[in-house]
Formats: sequence, C-alpha cells, structure tokens
Amino acid sequence: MKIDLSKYDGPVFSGRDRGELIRSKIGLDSADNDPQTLIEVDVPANTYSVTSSFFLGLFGPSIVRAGSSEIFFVKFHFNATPTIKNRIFSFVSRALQDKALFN
Amino acid sequence: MKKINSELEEWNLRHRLNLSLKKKRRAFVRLRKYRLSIDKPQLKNLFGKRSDVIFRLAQHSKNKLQIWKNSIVVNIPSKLSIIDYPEVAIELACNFANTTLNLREIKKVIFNHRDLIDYDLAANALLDIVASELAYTYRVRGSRRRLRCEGSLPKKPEVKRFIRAIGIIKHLDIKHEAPSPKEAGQLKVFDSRRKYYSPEKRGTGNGKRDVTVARFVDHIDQCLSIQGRSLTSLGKQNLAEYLSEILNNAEDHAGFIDWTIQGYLDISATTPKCEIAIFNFGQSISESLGSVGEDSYTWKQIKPYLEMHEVKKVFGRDWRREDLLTVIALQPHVSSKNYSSTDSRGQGTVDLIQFFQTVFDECTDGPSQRATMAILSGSTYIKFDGTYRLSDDPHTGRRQIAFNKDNDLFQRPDGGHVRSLDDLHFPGTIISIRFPLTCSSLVGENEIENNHEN
Repeated sequence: MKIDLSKYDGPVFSGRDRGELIRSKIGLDSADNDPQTLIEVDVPANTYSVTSSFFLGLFGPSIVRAGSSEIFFVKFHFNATPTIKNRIFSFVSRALQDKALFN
Repeated sequence: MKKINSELEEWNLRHRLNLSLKKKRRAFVRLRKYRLSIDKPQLKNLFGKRSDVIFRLAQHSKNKLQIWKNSIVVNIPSKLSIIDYPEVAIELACNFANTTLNLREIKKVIFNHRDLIDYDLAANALLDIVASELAYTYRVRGSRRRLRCEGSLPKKPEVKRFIRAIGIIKHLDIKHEAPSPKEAGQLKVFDSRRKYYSPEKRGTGNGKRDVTVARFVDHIDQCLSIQGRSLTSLGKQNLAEYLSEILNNAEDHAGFIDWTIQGYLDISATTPKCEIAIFNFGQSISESLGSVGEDSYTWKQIKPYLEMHEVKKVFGRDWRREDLLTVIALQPHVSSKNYSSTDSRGQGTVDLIQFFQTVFDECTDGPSQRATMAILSGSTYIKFDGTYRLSDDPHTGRRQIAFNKDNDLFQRPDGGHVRSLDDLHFPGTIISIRFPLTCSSLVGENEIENNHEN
C-alpha cells in the first residue's frame, strides 16, 4: 500500500482533523488489521512541515496499535527529507510516551 | 467574482475620466449594490445581525469611550502593548467595542495616535479588528452610510510608519495615507485573519490555516533575508509546525473560530524588531480546560495540582484557580481533548514555548535587546523573557514550566511572570512575540539536539 501526500496539497500538512480524514479515506484502519500489509509513505520534497497533530491524526492509532516504534517502522516506511524523517521519529516516540503528570 | 472585477475596472476607468461627482457617486452606489446582491445572503447567515467579535469584547467592558458629535473618539495612550501593559490594551479594546454597540449614533471614528510611543502589534490589532468589524457591520446591513475614519498619526516616525503600514489605515483601506512605495519597500508586513463568518472548507486538501502558515513561513524567510540569511529546512518544519499547532488549538478549543496572525518588521528602524501577533476569540485556555468533566482523564491529570494549591491556601485575588488552570494547560500532554493515556494532544503551547526559547537564545543581545513573549488568555497574563524555561522536573524527569525558581508546579508562580488581570478579561487568547533581528540563524544546531530529546 502506498500513501502519497502530494495528492493532498502542501507544503504544510497540519490539523488532526485533516489527518484523520485522510486516514479514513484511505482505509488505514483495515490496513492496520492486516499484518502482512506494508505501507510506503511518500512526503513530497518541497514540504515545509508535517505537524505532529496531522501525523498523529493520520498514524496515531497505528502507532498505538503497534505499541513500539520498532514495530511501527517495520510496517510503515517513510520517504521524506532527513528533517521531516527526524520529526516523524520524535512524533512516534512522543505518542508512546507516558503522559501522566503526577505519580 | 469575475463580474465584480470587471465592474471594478469599469468604475476605475470612469473615475479616471473625471466624471462629475454626481455620476461617480451613482456608479459607486450601483457597484456596491451589485456586490451586496451577490454575497449578502451568505454574509447575513454567517455574520448575523451584529459582529460577534465586537459583542464578545463589549461584554467585558466597564466603560464607554467618549462620543463627540456622533463620532467615537479613541484616544490611544502613549503605551499600548500586550507584552508590557496588557491591562491598558485590553481595557481600551473592550471599551471601544462597547461604544460601537450603539450603532445608530455613530458616523465616524476618530483615532488619536498622537501620543503613541511604545506599542506592540497585538494591542494595535485588537483596536483595528473592532473598527474593521464595525465597518463590516455597515456593509452587511446594506447601509448607504460607510464608516468614516479620521485621526492623527503618531509623532515618532517609526511608530507613524507602523500605524500607516499595518494599523487602521491598512485595514480600512485608506489609500491616501498608506506608506509610499519607497517606505513600503522597507517594511515586511504579514496579515491574515480567518473570520468567524468565512465559509468553512473541510476536506483532505489544505485550508485557510495551512495556506496561512505556509505564507507566514515565507514572510519570516523574507525578514531573515535582509541579513542575507534564510530558514533552514528544519527551521521551516519547526516554525510551520509551531504555528499550525497554535491555530489548531484556536480552532479546536475555543468553541468559536476567528483567528488572526500578523507579522511586522521595519527594516529602517534603529534596531529592527520582528513582531508576531496571534490571537483568537472564543473560550479562554482556562475556560476550555475547566470545562472537562470531573471523571475525565484530563481532570484526573490536573486534579492533584488544583487540590495542592487549595490545601496550601495560596489562592487569592492575584492567584486564582483560572490562572492555575492556564499554567497547567501549558504543560506537555495536557489537553481538554485527551480522553485516555493513548491520546496524544497537548503539544501546541509546548511547541510555542520551545520556539520562543530557541528565538530567545539566538536573538537576545544584551538586556535591552531581549526577545519577549506574552500569552494572555481570559484574565490571565503570562510573560516569557527567558527567566523561566521549559525544562526537566528534577523529581519526575518530565518537561515542564512552572514559572518559579524550583520549576515546581505545586508551588505558586512568580507574580512578575504570571498574574491575574483582576476583573479585566479578554474573550480568547493573545500571543504576542517580539524579538530583535540579530539572530545568527533562527534554528541552529542546538534545535536539532532538542528534537532528539523529544
């Protein structure tokens, strides 16, 4: 399966709602359920930014389902500039972080 | 739209041909009627009978401004700044809004900027938005009368340029007072507003928010270009991300979608300062966070903090529950939209603080040339000037900013940096940022390290 973000107007990709909308449109939930499906994500080279909210709207449930960044990146392969790839790594670890403010 | 443009061209042509005043007037009235016939039904539905923005501001007003011969007189004080004098700016904007509610009486607004010396973009933008909304109300009502504006400009050349370039003169399109092309070449101006009555576009494509963010990144890039520098790809990614998150918050949490973002840089100023103003109307941060149910995930996150402050009996007139909720909302992973530990909201303001810290480190040049930022939401004011930083809590290792020496959220913040505006209230949130343009680069090596830490 391939997700080409150039189909969705750049150069800024933001908004959880936009990410969630794309997720439901491409049927990522069903792809998540199939462990055999590997997903290739193309982020155009002229992209200014992919925000955490957009990314987590699009891939958040997949990250949570994967449970670890290693498992997530086995299923999802990102073709993006090094800058955006770095941010993607941090979004994934952020999504898996412990969010309790108090012990 | 094409038809409007062609009519406008026709009107311009007639105007140039030196028609009699009577004919010019007839042509203009015809054009205006034509335009209103096109967008009036939609405007009426979305705008309502009166400006919701004006009404929200007016609700928090205690007084009215002076009305003289059916004209509102707006006497701008010498210091009008959200960063430095928030009380003055908020009170004036609310009182101005309240004065405009009695629409039938008002024919003109007189802006007296003569004394203005110390200003910031956000405070000025608030006054402009009231005047712009008032002018729009006339248009929506199909009134034959248009709002007239006059006044006096500031004495100081730098401040005068500011008012002419992005102040009321720009917003009411008073062309004869606009900066000359030579002056305009020295100014970098950015202005975008998503109005609550703009038709909403939803879909997988980019909307107003993303387009604005991309344009704003280009604006900052242009500002840096005067020093022969430009944003790195990391700088673009981060700036666009921070800004998008702020606008997302404004759209998701305020219960009312109306945001503005402005940028201003005067290259010819003695010390060029980059100014950024972002504000939205609707629920304040504390109202949004305080509206969550007591059995919700978010409430369980924040409850111990609230209880501790109540037990310690530190709440009073100048440190209230809503101020505390605003400070808590700035912490990572706190969001009224988180419903379980698997939800991942609550990064917008953290990103903003991170952005400010980067700017502060790279652009502060001695005590007189400091980067500063203020967040004003509801009746809580928070100032960022590098004294307190988002850093790891020594006990838990979590990143937080508590605005006190121990960076301890269980202790009361420093009153000089977090304070209540008493009975003044802004119906929404304002972010005002000002930094001298002395940056070596907006995003440097250390930023990359910070990203890895996250």
